[in-house]
Amino acid sequence: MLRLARRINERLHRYMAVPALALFAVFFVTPLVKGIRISLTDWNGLAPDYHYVGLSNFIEFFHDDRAIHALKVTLTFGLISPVLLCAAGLLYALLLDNRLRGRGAVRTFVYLPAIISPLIMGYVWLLLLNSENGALLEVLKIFGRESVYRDWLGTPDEALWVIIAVNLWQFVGYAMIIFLAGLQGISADVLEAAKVDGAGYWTSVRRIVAPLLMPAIRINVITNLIGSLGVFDVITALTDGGPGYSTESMSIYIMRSSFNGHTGYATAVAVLMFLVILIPVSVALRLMKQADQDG
Amino acid sequence: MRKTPLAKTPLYALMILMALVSLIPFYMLLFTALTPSSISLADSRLLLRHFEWGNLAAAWRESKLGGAMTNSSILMGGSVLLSVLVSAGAGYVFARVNTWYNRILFNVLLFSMMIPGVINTVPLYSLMKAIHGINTHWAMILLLATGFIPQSVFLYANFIRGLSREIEESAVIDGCTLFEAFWRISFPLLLPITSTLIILNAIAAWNNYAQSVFFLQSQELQTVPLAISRFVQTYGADYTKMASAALIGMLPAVIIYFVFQRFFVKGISAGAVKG
Amino acid sequence: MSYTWSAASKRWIATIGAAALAAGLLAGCGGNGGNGANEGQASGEASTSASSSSNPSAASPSSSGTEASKPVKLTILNGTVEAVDWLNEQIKTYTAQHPNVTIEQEFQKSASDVLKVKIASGDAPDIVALAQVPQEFYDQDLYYDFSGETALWDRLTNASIKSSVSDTSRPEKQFYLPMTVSYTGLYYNKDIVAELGIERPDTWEAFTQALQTVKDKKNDVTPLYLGGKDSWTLGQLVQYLPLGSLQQELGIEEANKALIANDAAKLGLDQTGGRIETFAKALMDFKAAGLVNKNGASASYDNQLDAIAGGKAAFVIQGMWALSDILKKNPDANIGFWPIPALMAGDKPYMIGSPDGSVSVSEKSDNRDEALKFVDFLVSADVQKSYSTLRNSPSVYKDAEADWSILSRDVTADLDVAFVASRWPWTPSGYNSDSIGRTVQELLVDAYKTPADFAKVFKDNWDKGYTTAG
Repeated sequence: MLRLARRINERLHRYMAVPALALFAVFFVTPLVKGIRISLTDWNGLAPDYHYVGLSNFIEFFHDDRAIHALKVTLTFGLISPVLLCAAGLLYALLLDNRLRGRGAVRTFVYLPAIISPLIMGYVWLLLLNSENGALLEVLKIFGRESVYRDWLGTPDEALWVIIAVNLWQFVGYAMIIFLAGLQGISADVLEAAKVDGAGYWTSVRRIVAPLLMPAIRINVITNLIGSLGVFDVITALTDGGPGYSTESMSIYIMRSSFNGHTGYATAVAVLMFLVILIPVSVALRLMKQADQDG
Repeated sequence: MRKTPLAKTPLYALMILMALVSLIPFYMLLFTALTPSSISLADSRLLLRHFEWGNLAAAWRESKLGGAMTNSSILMGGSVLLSVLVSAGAGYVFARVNTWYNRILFNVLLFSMMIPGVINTVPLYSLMKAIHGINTHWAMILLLATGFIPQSVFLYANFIRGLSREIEESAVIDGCTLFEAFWRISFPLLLPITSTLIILNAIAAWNNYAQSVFFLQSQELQTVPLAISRFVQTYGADYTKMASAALIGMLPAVIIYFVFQRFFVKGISAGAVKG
Repeated sequence: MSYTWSAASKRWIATIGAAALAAGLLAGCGGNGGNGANEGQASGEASTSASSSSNPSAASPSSSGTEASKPVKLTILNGTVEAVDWLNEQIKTYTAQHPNVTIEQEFQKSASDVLKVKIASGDAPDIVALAQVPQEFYDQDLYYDFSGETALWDRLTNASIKSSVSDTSRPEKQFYLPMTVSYTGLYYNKDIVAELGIERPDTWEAFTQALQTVKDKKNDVTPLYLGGKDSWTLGQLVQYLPLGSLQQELGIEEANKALIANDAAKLGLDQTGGRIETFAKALMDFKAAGLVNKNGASASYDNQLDAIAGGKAAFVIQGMWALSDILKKNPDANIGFWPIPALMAGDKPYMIGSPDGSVSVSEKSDNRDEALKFVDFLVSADVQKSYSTLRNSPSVYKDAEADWSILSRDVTADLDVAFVASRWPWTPSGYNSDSIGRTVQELLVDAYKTPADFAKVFKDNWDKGYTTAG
């Protein structure tokens, strides 16, 4: 009996991936396959029957103005946010990469917003920016600069930028932590040498730090790209896709279509959204590899 | 550690500014939570004259926050524990056993992180129904854990690759199986990664709304986000109570963060940034 | 050394085994959400008689004690947050009288959406309360038909209420029971109106004049306040004004038929000078003249209630459901309630006095009869009295009269003047008041150059909203 147990034990390490893969297969792959099947039908989400319509859902996407607009919103938010997040995150990390006391506390506070559900943070910002009684308005009144205030969330072209800003505010801490981690690995000697050679601060950042930070940059860019292209909560909280449809992202459009009787079509758009994520991520990876090689 | 070229004072000033900017909405949340609800919000002041602590109690009662926090804790604990264990094991296999099929599986896992979750929602409901998992803790734990697997496996595998094989091999020489060697010797070394994953995943589980709203339907099983959302309705949002509930509800997440955060930077560094 | 490791591996296996056992136990106790009752969908037992038929047995009040005492579990889906506690109380009372019954309430914000998913997965709740059941389900006969319950319909304050809850496709059937009547109208600030000598505006000219007076004489008061961020508030304006006018012209039943069938000729949605264009023009003119708040598209429903409660707005178009929140914000608010001024020349002012609050019972449920008994209890006089007080709306049942709000006298007076539609104008499921509201949001942010442009987009969206099932 013991010998059998022993023999199992000896081989056990080969199967340590099985539980994870099993969970993944059941709760992710199976629904995904079924979902892709739905995207080839005209199911309306309710009736027990539906028909296969091949790729017509996908073709319809390109004739659907609202869907194309959602694509634009998604790309705008999804491509600009990662750039801002990485830039701000790097800046924050460089600032905090010092020996002052209290930097740990600041680091903690900066990351704190990332802990809160984006939906709740969205509502808080909504209250802050409210055009009737928001705190921002109050503060501006105190300084006599009330005219600076505009109803950004009520203006189609400007609302998205406010959403980008709120998202930036919430997640800059995450980007910062990743860069801090990366900075830790850069030995002081290299930089001392550069200083001796007469390199200024920003030059050494560009020439020395940035290349060494490549892994951190990679993680930040990819994670933030994926997260930003799939944005949902923060837009829902701040504008609910409005005014009108001006800030409706693809994920919001998919949810709405799914529950409005166009489930098959909505799932097809979701499949297309996967491409919308895949392509920028692949391009980004390639660009970074190139930058890495060019040194 | 590098030295930024700024002098101490402006640096301190900037740091304080950074902290304040990040904390403002928390102040807003506190402020909203403690505002008496009969004062029209149109008369808001930036500073409260009168703290309505009763709001917190009222919000607690009306949204049954106590039960919600218990539920959220169960789901959080279960899913994080499960995902850590299975992902560490899987990470080991992918890091050490470099077969062609393992490489493919690993890439499939990474790839899956790019797939929008919204494709899965409706088929997932049928699946959960079929296994009688709706309104249960265990099914929700499995579902949440599954969501954590790709990133966790990635971090573990990355880090383990950086650990020399000798650690496990010398334990084998001493008479362990590789299985034992991993769990007894290597796993404890993974503490930075584990801490990082605890922070990231525990908080994700705590804040989970999109899946909970579908699969945890009875009032007894509602989680904290569901309880909070009761106050934001179509016909009138009670921001005061929402803020109160949100404040209380975020405490456990904040506590977990504070407890594990000293390993956070190290963990990210070790698992994601090196190599 | 190896000896010790064997012992260690034994310990490992024991631990894992124990963990597995514990996991198994956990799985067992995660099942019922703490309800204790058996997952006893009494399969087949309760539904021996009266399986899905259109002639229901008269749901007699349950004489408890004589019936079988086998445990029954009912699920009830509730879509109205204000009623959650109230419903729990009723459940407590009922289950105390009927100890074999357990009732589990599930509250869902978007109950209609959740209902779609549940039914699609075969998980329909026994009872749906205070939420709208999508028409498709009524069409598929998934819900019990109450039309034969004469005892119940006799209790109505007004016989025509029965026809106003008729099914839109098959008017001889009633798939849900009403509870209260909810009115929509024009809230106004009594102090401002008295001060400026404004009389009740029945025509749109009078209304425009009144708003202009407010703007001219009261600088810091918004004449008409819109809470457009919550798009349904704007969508409802379309239902009150242009569609309300349609109801007046064609008659309620005919209008409904035309709406459901998308009878373009009768609806005249994109007709030049037609109702939708007139509505768009009216809104655009108000905006240009500064008679509505500039942030109309981003102010929320909450802001809107704040405005009327705090005296920052003179007029707000809303429903009675808003009253309790307004009073919560300002218990001393001195407000009145008028019918909505007529948009089209020649119309009487509009009011919708439609049955609000509804209860439907799943026809396919194994516990249908038990569910019906509970619903009987819910619509009984005392329970309905408490509901009427809760929602500040008059009950539809004669014997459930209660003093439901400070506006009761206003409403009584208004009913004489207005054309009271007993049902809301129907909208296609793919273009409901939320979606309509978003098109109006676009108008408020100057997305349309002319009213005709708006009408065209409206008609396009409207047509697209008729989902072809399957």
